[in-house]
Amino acid sequence: MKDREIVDLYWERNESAIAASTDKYGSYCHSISYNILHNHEDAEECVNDTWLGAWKAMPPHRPERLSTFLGKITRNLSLDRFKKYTAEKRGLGQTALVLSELEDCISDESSVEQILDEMILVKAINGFLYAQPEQRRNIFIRRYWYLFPIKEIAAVYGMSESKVASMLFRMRNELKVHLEKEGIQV
Amino acid sequence: MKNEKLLSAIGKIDDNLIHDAVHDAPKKRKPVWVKWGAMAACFATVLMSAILLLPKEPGSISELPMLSAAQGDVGMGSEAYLAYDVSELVNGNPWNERLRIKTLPVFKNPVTFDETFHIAMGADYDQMKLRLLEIADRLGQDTRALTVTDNAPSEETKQQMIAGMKKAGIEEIPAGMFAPTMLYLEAEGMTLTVDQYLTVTVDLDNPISLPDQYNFTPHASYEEAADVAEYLKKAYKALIGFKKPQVSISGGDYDTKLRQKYAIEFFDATGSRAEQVVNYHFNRVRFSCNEEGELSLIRFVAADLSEKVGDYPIITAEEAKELLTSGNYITTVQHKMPGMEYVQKTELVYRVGSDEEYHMPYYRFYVELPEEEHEGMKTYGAYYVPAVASEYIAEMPVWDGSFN
Repeated sequence: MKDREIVDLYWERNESAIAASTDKYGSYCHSISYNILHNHEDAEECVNDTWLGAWKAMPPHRPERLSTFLGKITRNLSLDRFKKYTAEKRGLGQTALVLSELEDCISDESSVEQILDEMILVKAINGFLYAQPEQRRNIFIRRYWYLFPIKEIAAVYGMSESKVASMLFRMRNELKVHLEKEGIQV
Repeated sequence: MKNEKLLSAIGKIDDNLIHDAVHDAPKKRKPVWVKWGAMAACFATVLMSAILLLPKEPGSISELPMLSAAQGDVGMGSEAYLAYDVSELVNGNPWNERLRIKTLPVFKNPVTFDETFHIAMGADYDQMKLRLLEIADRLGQDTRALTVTDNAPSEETKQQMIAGMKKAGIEEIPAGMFAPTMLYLEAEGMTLTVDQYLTVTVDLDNPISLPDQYNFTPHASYEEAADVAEYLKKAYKALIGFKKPQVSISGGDYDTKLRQKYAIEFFDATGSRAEQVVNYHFNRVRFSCNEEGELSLIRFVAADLSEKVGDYPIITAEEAKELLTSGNYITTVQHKMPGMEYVQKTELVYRVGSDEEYHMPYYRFYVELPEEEHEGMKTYGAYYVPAVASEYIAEMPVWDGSFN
């Protein structure tokens, strides 16, 4: 079924929208959630909650690229669940590692946090990523959007894990400099 | 908290970036023969450059702009067909290998979409409205008495959305944010809908029964569908509106309950074979039935082809097979192409998904997937190779095994 048809089902409040989403994007969303939570049961729950989120969002939204629209919902829900995990000290998976990797990229000052408009930050990150060579950019996104383990990224690109890790390290430093230049305090 | 903030901000980056990250072509270490192949390709490039340096005639094909091939949408779902034999998979595509078509037109898809706000843009509402009224007229409706409506959000919803966006710090709301994606016409006994790609769907309030001798049900056989098609062709000649309507019965694959299904369509078989190929993909009329075997829906499939990029040279199916062997293909099937001995059918098609930047021709290979065979039932996966000559493709797709 085409994306447009699935979106139409949501707009028509037709419950088969959920089945169509599960068929087409179930495994995609599951892999996003699993990378964050490393637990199939929890990932499955997040994926089910994704359809509920989509149900609430459409209408008014009419996403043209349904995959990333649903993927973003899954990612948010999974990260929220991860926070709950850490509160209960059950932290698993890639998330803790990714969070510690990103530790030094932006400032810890609460005053900065208060004024830091997330939209400006997103815009700056977009600008940074678009300026990168394709492979570096994709490796960064595979790590920090999809939260793929470094080992898997290395395998996909035929690189050593240390090469991927050092590439990401350099990119984090470059991102820090870029954010500074954009007036986002570091 | 700062790292969480960053992780959350990264979560909101452009959809294009997210999509492309798992659809790039990772450069793995290549086997030795690839190096020799690359050397041969370098030689070919030198030769080609020499040819290109020759004085050009105005409008020669070398002036055509470069095209980007689609990379296939993440999670498009697997395009594969179940059948006992490939001959069961049929359609009315007028292309065949013997035609030796040298060039085919490529069109820019005028509908693009804003990645951040998830809105399609570039639709021509006047064209959409005209198309709606033209079809209504063909259906014998008094178009002067009809009002076109749309699915744009109500003023209340719009204000709620603006308030929500302002709260999130979004001051610049893109033009087209609240534009409709569909137009509707409530006419006597039917509803007409047109989408941004100019496809009109006519939903009949009172489905129409066909004479008793015709079996127009969802799982009628090929022969029964062909009989129905001949009847519809005569009965709805004016509505179909083509100079030379050609029947196209497509389908034949099996569903999970082992039932076959065929779709009945018509396209205009006038003009050159190349024109017929274009008509077949972008200008069709489809008649659909309900479970009771009545005509319930008529769809006028179309696309906005007003932005022609040019006529591009087409490679042969044999040349496309070489690209297929080298891994230069797009697929939503989860298996790597198992080998040329499994290629069972070749077809030239235009990919028409909403994700396509260009409407351009591809070779579609139906490849038998040996690991999917079950009690004689085979699975044929679709693998696509750009049919436009490689020198016009900015970045040749390379299968990377990314998940679907």
